[in-house]
Amino acid sequence: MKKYFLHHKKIKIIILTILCITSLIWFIYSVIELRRSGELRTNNSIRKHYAYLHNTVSVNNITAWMTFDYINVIFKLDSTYLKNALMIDDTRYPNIRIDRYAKNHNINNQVFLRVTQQLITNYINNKK
Amino acid sequence: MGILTQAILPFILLYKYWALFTLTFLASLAIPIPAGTILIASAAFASQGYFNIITIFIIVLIANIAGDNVSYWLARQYGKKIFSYIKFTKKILESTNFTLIEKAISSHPGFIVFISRFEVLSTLSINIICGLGKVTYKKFMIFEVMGSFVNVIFFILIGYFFGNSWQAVNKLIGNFSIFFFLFIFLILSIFWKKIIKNLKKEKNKL
Repeated sequence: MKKYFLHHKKIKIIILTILCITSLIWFIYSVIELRRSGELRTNNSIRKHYAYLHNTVSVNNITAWMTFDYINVIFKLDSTYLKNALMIDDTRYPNIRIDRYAKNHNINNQVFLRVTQQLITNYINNKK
Repeated sequence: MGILTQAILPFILLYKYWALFTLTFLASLAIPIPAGTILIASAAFASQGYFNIITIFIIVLIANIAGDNVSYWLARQYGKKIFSYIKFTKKILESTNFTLIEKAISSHPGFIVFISRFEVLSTLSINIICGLGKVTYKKFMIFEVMGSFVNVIFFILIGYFFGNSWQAVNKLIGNFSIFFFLFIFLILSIFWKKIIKNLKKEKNKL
């Protein structure tokens, strides 16, 4: 049986074909699952895609490892807005991580993150 | 997101292009840094306006080429000396199988150098074998640049076009690469008899 299995060319091809089809089905399934969960967002038109990119940056995407500089750029904030609103006196601003700043100033990380998110939401709403 | 990535991404946000160059350079020397993920993430940051996509492309390409050149030249200048000091590597260097591999790469360097750019460990091994063997620098460079170019473009486009969804795409690539390796392993296990037969034929010719 083993000998037959290893030598028969047709069986090898069948195995490879099954593997190819399985991998394709699995790939499509993963894409569908990721799109359903909202993790993967695609747009068929490249033009729409650019417009879409700018609309999909949400304050909920902000995480503690991000820097103030990065947040200022992606949300198009005034460079001094967060500094003044959060009363940041660190000379490294805006090149400092949110969690590092919170840790250095003995502030609860999650609370500080939520306050930052709220301030950005207010800024965006006021701009509208 | 992995712990390693969580530690690396802020480093890129803080030191920008310098960090990108350093990390890519180190990754091309097979230091365990997720270079693909870094590139996808950087391109995603570029799509958000934080980086310039062309600058990222140039910097990563230069870093990749520089890293590969370091391993090629180190192997070419000191490879044989260093490997002959260690018993284990000396044995490998003197084996017929190694001579066969060296010969195969020296006779068809283009395709092998090009394809190897898509996997970190194979990149390093091929660079070392090319350095140890008789692959000319000109030949090595042409296919090295071509391979790195395609590799960098591939990851940059993924990051740039998927923008905020880059983490999901990265997860997809990660899952798929596991399957890809299993697939290669299965192909090798199916055709191993043919490979051994060919190697023995070559051995007899030597």
